Amino acid sequence: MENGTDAAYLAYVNGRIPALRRIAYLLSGDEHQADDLVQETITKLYARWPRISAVDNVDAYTHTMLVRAFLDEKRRGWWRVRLFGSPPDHAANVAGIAEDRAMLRGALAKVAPRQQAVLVLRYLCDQSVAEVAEMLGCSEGTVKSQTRHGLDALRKILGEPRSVQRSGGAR
Amino acid sequence: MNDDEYGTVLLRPLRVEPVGPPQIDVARAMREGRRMRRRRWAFGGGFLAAIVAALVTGSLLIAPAAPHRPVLPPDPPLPKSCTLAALPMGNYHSAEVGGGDSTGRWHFGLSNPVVNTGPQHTLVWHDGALVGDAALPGADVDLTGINSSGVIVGEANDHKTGIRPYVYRNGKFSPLKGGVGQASAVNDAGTIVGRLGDDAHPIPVRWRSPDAEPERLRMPAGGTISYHHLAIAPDGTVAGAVFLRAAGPATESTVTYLWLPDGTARQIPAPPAPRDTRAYLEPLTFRNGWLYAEQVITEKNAGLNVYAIADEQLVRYDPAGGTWQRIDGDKIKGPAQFPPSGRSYGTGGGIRPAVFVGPAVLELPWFMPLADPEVDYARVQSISNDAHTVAGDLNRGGNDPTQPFRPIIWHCE
Repeated sequence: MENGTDAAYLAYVNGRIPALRRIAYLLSGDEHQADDLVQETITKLYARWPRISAVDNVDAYTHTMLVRAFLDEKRRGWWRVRLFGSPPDHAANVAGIAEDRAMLRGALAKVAPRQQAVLVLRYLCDQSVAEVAEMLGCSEGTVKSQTRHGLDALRKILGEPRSVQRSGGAR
Repeated sequence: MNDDEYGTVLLRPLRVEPVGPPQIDVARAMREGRRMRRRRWAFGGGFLAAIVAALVTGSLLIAPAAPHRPVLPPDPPLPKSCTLAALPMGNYHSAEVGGGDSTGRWHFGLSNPVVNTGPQHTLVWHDGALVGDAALPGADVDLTGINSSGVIVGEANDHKTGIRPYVYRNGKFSPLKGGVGQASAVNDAGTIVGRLGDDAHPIPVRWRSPDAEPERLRMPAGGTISYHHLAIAPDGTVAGAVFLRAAGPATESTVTYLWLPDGTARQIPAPPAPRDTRAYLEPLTFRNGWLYAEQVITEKNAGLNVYAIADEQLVRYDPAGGTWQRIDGDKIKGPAQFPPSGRSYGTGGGIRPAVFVGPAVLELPWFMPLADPEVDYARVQSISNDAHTVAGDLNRGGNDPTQPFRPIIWHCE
């Protein structure tokens, strides 16, 4: 029985790792942290697999675990230790392009973790308000307010993005 | 521009894919997940029931009460320094450490822990020397405890009866009496605790010796034993979690019980849970007079309409005085490990391995040539009661058999 369960787990995980890794990377902005988040998620997923596999929407549950792991890491703060001890991220070394990203990442890092998660899931992972609400275990209204607060915080830090200022004819 | 336009445009530069190769080890996730699963096997029927089981535990929380016993069980002094050494592997290329006893003199492990990389045997070390090398008694072997006489307990699938409780002593494995089940722990007196029956109908039992008939532990009315792991104290006291299903989901709960050597049992109060959460306890082990447990905290996920596990805290309870203590919440999220918790995710990326000694943290040295802190992961699998001996293993992840597990031991003073 366990082998059959393991086979189902392996089939599921192997098929989802690229997507999970992408979400984790978009959330964290760091490949090493992304891999650790996915590793933690699939470990817990395996521990609960015999029960979780019976849930209707396993993807939703797995994504919830991943986002939860991300929020936990933000709360723990010990990732900072790891980041300082890790080799620099590949992308961060690419001159020019990295500058904007680094600035954006820096700004995003100043936003409350839950708001970070909402912004990334909505605008980078293309999740709907309802899907984000499901992942975070909150109401859609909370997602909307978290989005608004998160964007307000980014506006204060960064101002309006240049491309939109031009297209909108703003100053 | 509206919020959605602003957010989309602003964050667009971050819409990039990871470029490096993934460092995700599914085999390791399964190994570590299996350990976690062993401790959480039986919530009753199905995932939802499992989560619901945790719902009302919060309502049972009772504030710690120990006004008349200010003297708590003492912790050993934190060692000032440790030295790292390799444990011998015989002719094996790779071996992991599974656990150790309270004295730090006995350890057990497994050769070639990555499947299909070589013969898998149980290895036993005594005072740092490899003294046992035994073929596994079946499939799905999971050894969970060892005592100060080198007696090891666990489970194995013999392909006839199914998964049965097993004991290893004097170089040989033998099944414990009672049929299907699992053995969780053994104390230094040789008393073993575990469960019999399948996952749907588990019965907690105690074997007074490896040859003894099992004795049922008396359950409260309407209760079933909830979790695999049962802890046993030196005096024979057993701790376990009990799933109470009284009159429907609204009154289900998971409570922690102590079965005392005199045959009586009592529920122990749980430590307070954070606001707006529900919590339950998983007993881990008795050590230096304390019962260590993991407090699993759940929060409601409105979207899925379930309570999902949100956090886990290491706590400990003084059975004599009734005092709960929380081992530092931030530290448990950091690299410090607590071996019996199954929380041995390993530390790497330059983070120094560390282990809890009571609420204090003992940092462990690792250095070349035995360990490469830049690429190795260290798992702490056991610590002696006096904190003088710590054992574990090093690995670099993945299924590459050229990157073996290496058993290690720290001697501390």
